[in-house]
Amino acid sequence: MPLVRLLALLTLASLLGACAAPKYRPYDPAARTKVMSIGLLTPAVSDTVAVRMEVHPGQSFGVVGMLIAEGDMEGKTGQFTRAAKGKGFVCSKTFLAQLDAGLRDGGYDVKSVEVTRPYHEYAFLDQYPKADGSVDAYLDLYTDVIGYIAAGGGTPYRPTVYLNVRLVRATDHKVLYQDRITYNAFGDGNGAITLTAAKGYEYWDFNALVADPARALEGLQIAMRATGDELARQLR
Amino acid sequence: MKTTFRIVVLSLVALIATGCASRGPAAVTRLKAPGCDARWNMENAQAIQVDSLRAVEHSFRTGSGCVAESDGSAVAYTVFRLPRFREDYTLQIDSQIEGRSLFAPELVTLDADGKVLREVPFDRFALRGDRLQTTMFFSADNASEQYLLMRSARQVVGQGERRLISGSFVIPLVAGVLPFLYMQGTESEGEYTYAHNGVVRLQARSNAPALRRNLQARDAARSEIGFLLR
Repeated sequence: MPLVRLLALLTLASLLGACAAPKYRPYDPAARTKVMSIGLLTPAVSDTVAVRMEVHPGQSFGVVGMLIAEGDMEGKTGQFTRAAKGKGFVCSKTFLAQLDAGLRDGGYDVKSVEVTRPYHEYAFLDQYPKADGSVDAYLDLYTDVIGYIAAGGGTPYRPTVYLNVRLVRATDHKVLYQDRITYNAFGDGNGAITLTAAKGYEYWDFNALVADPARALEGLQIAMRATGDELARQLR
Repeated sequence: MKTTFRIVVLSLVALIATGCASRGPAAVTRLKAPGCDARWNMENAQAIQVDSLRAVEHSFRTGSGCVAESDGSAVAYTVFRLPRFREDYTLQIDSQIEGRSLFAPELVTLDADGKVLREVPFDRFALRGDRLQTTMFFSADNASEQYLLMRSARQVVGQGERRLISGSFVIPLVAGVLPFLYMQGTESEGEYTYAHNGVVRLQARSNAPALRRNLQARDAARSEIGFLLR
């Protein structure tokens, strides 16, 4: 019996340990003054424009309901992504342009640094490029979500961006800053910086969203710009 | 029919509960100079300790400390005594939304004579869910900083901000013989106003405590495992 308790305790401890992994590391102003040039690593940004509900009505109906809900959201995501591509919208390009501008406005000398990331893996890099003296720090970015998210069946779809950011010193790869910036976060954001979605880009049903992709993508660009501006503000 | 009725009733209960949760003190956006201090009073400064289990909390309320400004207005303020410097530490400062009000903080560090050494303006705070938050760093270079003055940032007091609050609730139900969970995503739109009143929390943490914390965690785990194996 004590062994069962011990195993339960160890399982709980490992779960809590995983929860306690640092998600946020504030940026020390002393380190800030030493970073003048940033190497913007190729970010892990999906070109899929998600259309999802945080709590889909189908999820109330067990495993079958969850599968139906997932199929519904996948279908809507595919349809909206095709509409976005039809308008020439590519998430990664748009996002990079917004970030680059924001960082330059913040007084940083920005250089793009190409890195290869595992296909369809959205996480921070395990290893960073060796320092060649051209930049003081590397900026590692990935997004969890870019798209239109609704809290539930009776709430509107709103433009949403979840950006994860890590700044590491080029010489020794020490993490100088790590954070998560959310535009239209679900719940309290779980410690992330939370930005409220702009008015005028809410869609009460999917048909309304796909009927006007140009305006919907405008809402998404506003979300990306706001997220990029907030990141630049944090790095100033 | 019975299940639908239950869903409707429980949804209403959830809505009412959410409505109650958003109530709180009204935002104080104007303070007048008469009755306020002429300058910062550093006596009775609340002490901050590094690695204390409990955060230091302060409520800015009507009648709590204020200091007169030259134009006849005033700002709310309080002074904290910083820990005596022994090793590098960080100080996390949170100001929490209460109903429709959010204390708009700005910070100043002072030496023993009250001379201003460092300023952290309002725009260094970021909104994280229902709180404004910033982190200050203290190293040997800041050893002469003995007090932390927190005051309301008058340039933003009175400004309103829009806020979306989303979440979910789950209701376990039984339909016939099958139990299932009714899940619903919710969203409400509200506003808050930057104010002279509100609640702030401060927590100081040493920067190089990894080894010490690991040892403490190990000792606690040993003690717990010993107890379980008894």
